[in-house]
Amino acid sequence: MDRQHDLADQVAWLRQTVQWMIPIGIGSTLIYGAGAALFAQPLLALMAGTTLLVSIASVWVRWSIGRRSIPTLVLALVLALWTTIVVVSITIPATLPGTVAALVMTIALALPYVPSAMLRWLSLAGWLLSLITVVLARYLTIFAPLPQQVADMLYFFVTLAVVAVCLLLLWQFHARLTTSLQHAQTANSALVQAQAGLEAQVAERTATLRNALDDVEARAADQTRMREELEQQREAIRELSVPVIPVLVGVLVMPLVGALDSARAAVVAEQVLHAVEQRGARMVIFDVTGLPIIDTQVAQVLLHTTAAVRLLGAQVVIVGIRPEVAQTMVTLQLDLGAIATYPDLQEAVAGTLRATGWRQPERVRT
Amino acid sequence: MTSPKQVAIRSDFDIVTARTTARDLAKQLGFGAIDQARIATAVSELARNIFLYAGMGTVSVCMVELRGRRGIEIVCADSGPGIADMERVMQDGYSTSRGMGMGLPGAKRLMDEFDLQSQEGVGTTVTCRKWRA
Repeated sequence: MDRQHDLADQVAWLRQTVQWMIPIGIGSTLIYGAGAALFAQPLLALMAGTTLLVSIASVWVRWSIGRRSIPTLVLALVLALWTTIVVVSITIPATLPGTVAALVMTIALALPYVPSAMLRWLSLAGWLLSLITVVLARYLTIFAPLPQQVADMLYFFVTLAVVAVCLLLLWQFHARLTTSLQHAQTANSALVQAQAGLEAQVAERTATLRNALDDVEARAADQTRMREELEQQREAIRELSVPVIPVLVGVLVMPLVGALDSARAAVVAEQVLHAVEQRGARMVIFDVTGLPIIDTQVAQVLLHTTAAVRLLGAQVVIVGIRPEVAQTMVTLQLDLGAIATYPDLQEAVAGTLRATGWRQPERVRT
Repeated sequence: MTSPKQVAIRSDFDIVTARTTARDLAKQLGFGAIDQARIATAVSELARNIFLYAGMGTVSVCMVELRGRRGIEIVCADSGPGIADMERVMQDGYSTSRGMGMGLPGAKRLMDEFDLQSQEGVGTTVTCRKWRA
């Protein structure tokens, strides 16, 4: 972007320079032409010719801006000017100092437009040319010296032209420098702003990320805590539900409540067998009023536990099967086999007592 | 058809959740106590199968309507080992674990409609429905 900027600037400067040179060139040509006609000085005619050359070159450059590369155009201008200068110096030795200065000035003119390599060659060529010009001007006399009036007038115009162009060049340089500085400063402040903006964004994002991270960590901690709570609650539920109640000597009632998952089934079996052994029970009554469902798993648990209890010498009885559960069990074709069932606890106890002919002892050990 | 309620089966406890969900919906739909028990037991059997054989799966429960009759639909799906012999598995007393072998045929008897889809190595899906009288 900067290079294009530079190029656009260059084109603008060149155009401006050439636009100055065209009127100056044409003006000079006219004056010299007039002078040549008035004073019948072929010298002036020659001058007019050279300024015409410069004018034509300037017009050509002006027309070619955009069609040819800038260094080419500038080179053309420089060559045209040099031709003028050399011719003027040689034919009018009086102008030598000014013209040699002008020679150098053309290089200053070309300075902003040509690359360094070309500039070096140009400088070398210019230096050699000035040398040759001085030598030739000193030792070659083509025309007779001009009348003083004419020479003065010539001096006047040449000096004017040179000074004008010098000033223009200086002004251009100043303007170029200022613009470049401005550009640099604008770019710099833009960069500083952008950096500040980016840093603010980064800080913001970091803060957001940190918040999100904190959130996530809090949630993870919450989840872990909830999982632990859940586990504890499950444990509590398991422990809750397997009491063994001695109702009479040798008779145990075990209410089964809620869901009998495999863990609970194991606890049930353990509790029952332990109690039977400890109390010397002869009968275990499973009260399943609190079981909403008896599926194959529950049936299996009951059958297995019954078998184990039987081995310890006690009988097993089930009470509290609800009507709907009974229906379901029949549909499932669940057979509780040899386990006796009674509608409620009273009947169960009475029935078993009758069956075993059990007599309540005198002293009841509670 | 209302949106199905899904219960993921990953543990023993989830079986209880599944049958409670099914029972609740059955109650909402106006099924009687006996039918509620049947539905809950069927779900219990099927969910237990999922847990026993596949380790994990889902039980979906939703309402269905057909020709003015309302019913409940239960879909039990898993990506387990599948059933090798579908005929034998529907016979009472056949079990590949040390169970009683009543789960699938029992569930079929408990529900009105029963459909078993299974592919070895892919998974099993059981769809069953019960209609309100």
